Amino acid sequence: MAETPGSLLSPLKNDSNDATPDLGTTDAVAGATAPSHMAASGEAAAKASGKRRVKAGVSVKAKAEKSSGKGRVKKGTASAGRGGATGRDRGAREANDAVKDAASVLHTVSGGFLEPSHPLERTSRLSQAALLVHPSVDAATRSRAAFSLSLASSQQTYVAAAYSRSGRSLLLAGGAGHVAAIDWRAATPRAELFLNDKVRDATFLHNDGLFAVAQRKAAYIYDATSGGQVHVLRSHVSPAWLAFLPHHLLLASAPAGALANTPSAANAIYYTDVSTGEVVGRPRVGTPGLALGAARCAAVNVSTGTLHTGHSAGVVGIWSPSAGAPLARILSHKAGVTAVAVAPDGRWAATAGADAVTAVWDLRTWQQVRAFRNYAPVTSLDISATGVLALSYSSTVELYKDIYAGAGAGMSPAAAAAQAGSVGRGGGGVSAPVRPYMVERLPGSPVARVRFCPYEDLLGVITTASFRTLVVPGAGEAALDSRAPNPYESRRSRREQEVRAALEKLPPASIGLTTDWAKGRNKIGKQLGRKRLASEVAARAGRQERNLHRAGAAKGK
Amino acid sequence: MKVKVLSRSDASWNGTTDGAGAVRRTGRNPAPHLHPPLRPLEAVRALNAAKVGRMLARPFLFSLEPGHVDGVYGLARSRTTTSLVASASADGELKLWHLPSQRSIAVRTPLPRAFIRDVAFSCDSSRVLAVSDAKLVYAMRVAADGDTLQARAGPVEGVGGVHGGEETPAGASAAVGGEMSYLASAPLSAIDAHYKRPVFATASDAVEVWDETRSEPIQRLTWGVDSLHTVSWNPVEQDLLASAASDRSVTLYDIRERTPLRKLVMALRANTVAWNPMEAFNFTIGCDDGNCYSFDMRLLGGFSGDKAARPVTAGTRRSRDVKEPAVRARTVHKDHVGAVMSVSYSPTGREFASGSYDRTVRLWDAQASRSKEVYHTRRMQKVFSVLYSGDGRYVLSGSDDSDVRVWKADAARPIKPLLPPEQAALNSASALVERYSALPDVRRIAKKRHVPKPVKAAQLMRAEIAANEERKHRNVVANSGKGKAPKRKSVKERSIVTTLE
Repeated sequence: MAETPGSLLSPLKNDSNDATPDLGTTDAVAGATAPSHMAASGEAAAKASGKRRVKAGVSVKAKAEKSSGKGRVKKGTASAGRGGATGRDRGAREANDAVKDAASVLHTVSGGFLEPSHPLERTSRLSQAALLVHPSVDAATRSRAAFSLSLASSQQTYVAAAYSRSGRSLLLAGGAGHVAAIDWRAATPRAELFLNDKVRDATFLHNDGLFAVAQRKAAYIYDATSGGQVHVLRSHVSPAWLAFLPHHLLLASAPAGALANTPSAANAIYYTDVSTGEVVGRPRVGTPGLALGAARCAAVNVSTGTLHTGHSAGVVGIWSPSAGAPLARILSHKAGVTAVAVAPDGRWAATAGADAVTAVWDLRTWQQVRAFRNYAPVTSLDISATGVLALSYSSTVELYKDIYAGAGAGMSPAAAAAQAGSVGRGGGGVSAPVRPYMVERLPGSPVARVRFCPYEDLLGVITTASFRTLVVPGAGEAALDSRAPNPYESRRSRREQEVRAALEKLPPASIGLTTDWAKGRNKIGKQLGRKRLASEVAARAGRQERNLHRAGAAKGK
Repeated sequence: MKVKVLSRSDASWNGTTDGAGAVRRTGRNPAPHLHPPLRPLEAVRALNAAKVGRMLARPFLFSLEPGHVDGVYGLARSRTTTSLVASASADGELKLWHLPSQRSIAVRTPLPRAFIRDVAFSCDSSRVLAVSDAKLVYAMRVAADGDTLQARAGPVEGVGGVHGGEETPAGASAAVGGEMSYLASAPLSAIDAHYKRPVFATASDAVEVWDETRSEPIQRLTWGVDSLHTVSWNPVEQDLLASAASDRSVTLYDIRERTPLRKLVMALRANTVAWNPMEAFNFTIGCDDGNCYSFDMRLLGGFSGDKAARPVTAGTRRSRDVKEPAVRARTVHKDHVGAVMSVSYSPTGREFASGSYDRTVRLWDAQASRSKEVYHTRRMQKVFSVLYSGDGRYVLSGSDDSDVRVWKADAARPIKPLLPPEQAALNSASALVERYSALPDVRRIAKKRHVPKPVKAAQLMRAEIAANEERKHRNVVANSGKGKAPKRKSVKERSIVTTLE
């Protein structure tokens, strides 16, 4: 890619094979302004896309585009909200309704849902096209769902998509170096990079101001506003994936390629504190005797801070930066693990293997609660805030809901395991087929990754050559919290949270299988005499130091 | 199919965009996946709070200017207003201070070069009473608002030529509204006023109780000792009185009875006695050995309903098989390395301050055996008097360098009026530090106090002495026959020689 092309973020072209032909033609902007005029929107879409191709590409121009796009979206939402009354009136009416009902004062928001109104109806048979023309789906939702991009013109295979923690920004990464941070609501690019380098993964950091990209030799951090390179993390040698722990401000990665299969000390999970830049731990993956295999994929357990990695030996490792070895290993699949996901509340985890089995795990009992077979090995997994499981294989996206309840609730772990049909290796026994909540096929290109958009009933799907947004009712957290990252946070609150995040950064030592770290330490402090405590702490520090030193020495050899 | 999809109105969340009045909506959702794990987060917050607390700790406020020219031995606060404080110094100067303005509003020298040992506000706080070596109780009138003042220094017959307030000529006391000074039979060393009645008590060769309207003591309480140096009324149980004497004793009196109640003999002399203003039965003494001891007077024997501890009166005999329970201090407060000269309770009764010969002021939780704060400056000399302010927010210290210093009772808390959120933030910070105080990092930061080099050296020496004693005891135990090793008294009993009744 010698010369920098224009923006590759073009709306998805009308695809004759597309299951949603009507919506395929509407891009975000057109969809926002004229959701009910789909027939007329094709022209508008072509116009808008042409304009964007010319304008976007460099950040200054993208900014201009942003402002114009923003204006239009605003108009669209205003018209959507109007419906005979002004937005303010509607708000007042809503407030009145809320006051009327005491219960609704306490629960002012409720999540979405999709329920059959007849016993013979199946939610899984409802296509996106049919869902979006449903009368109770409003225009704003249609416009959001219509945010789709055709990325075919960049002639590369897209490998990653990620939303920021607030759900405000979207990050797309192509294998040949096209990385774009997008304000998807306004349908405007924030930063677009053509890296001329191999890209394996990309993720936002603690807010949508910075993102990290796993490139051929190292991990890089970029500014999402200007697109400027902020930092190079050379200690992350040829990272295969990136995972970010938002409360600990740790960026983790494991090496890709030949190194990932060696017993070398450099074959480790590298943890870097992005606030200080120092490597706080590098537990070794390639320890002889562990037989984990290469760490192919990873997911963060936000509640405990542990990292779940899927290995080529069918094992899932659970890691902490302060332990030299995995805290736990789950022998989950008979073939290599292809995808892992952890529920945001830290209670459930899902794994998928090359044996085309998907397994769901209860992280409190460490039991497999369910395992089922797919038609092909799953390429990506994600669990939404409400517990909806999304998985993708070839060019199909399947969504599962309530798959934990059957085996987990009110049952002993043994009984749960018995019902699930297997204990131990997930491939050993596969339970009865589970009916998916929703199914969507995106013919043409295999799906690379599925990611739920925080606080929205939306699922972002990156295929090798396009980005699509699917509507998944009931997937998003309905109640926003102003103290957590949220799409409507003000600049001031974002600043405050940035300072707070740095001040209240949790120490790496607090990462463990449980969150009662301070409790234990507090108890130790009370029980042990001061001297003994000091010697114990010193011994522990010395051990860690030696481990690190040993690892470094081995790397030096 | 029934469908509902989340769809928020951006406008309602972003606020109206048509001007400066845009108010964003806020939401709260306690779901755990939106927030960091609580316990590690709290531990980190506790550590931050401890750090910030130490960074903001600026305990010294100011010293009262113009000050005395000799060591300050007496400090007293008004019982009706928090703004008035009286101080007295060794050169015979008595000063009344208005704390909010940091000004001295009256200066009197009743008898030049007559060492004023102690000072107190009278029961209704209308007068300041000062006692000196010149056998004189000097009364200075204080107007209710504290602004207009008049001193009345009346010579009593036989004294003659008292140099009092400028407006009052010598020998005119009887002429001015019956105001009196009181002539005692011996040099006076301490004074305290009753909390309800116009009565005060002085300490000299005996405890004498005076009626403010009479020139002679109405009661004289003695118990075989001729040199008392402190006296203190109980603020709750108002007929009770405690004093300490040079025979190392602390004596309790009830003025409704003819004889003193009880005498506690310590190993070393008690310099001061302070009653807990909220717990009528608890008092704390400051001792020459550098410790403060808190006692529950009910456990000194003779007061509880316990048969064994019932008072021995004529006609009853204690049965021999019932053993008298050992008299012990409730708490031993060990941190000073020099004699404790003064103790003053906070009005809440939950903290007290102590001033010591080791040139430091320490603040204590009333139940704690270790101090929570130590205040010192490079120039502060031996501290003879400390005083908690009436609102419990300040501590005053009077020392040998002739300064009266004003300190914050809570070093890290700002003295300005706090907004409710600021108040809440400070409260939660201190609660967090308290809750995670056993975490090594938190404890290290929160407890660390710099002390002057001589104090540090003395602390090390004391620790070594204690360790040697401990080792010696272990050796004695190891070399005694089984069951023959002498039993070692607890720290709470060790300094108590005996109790008498």
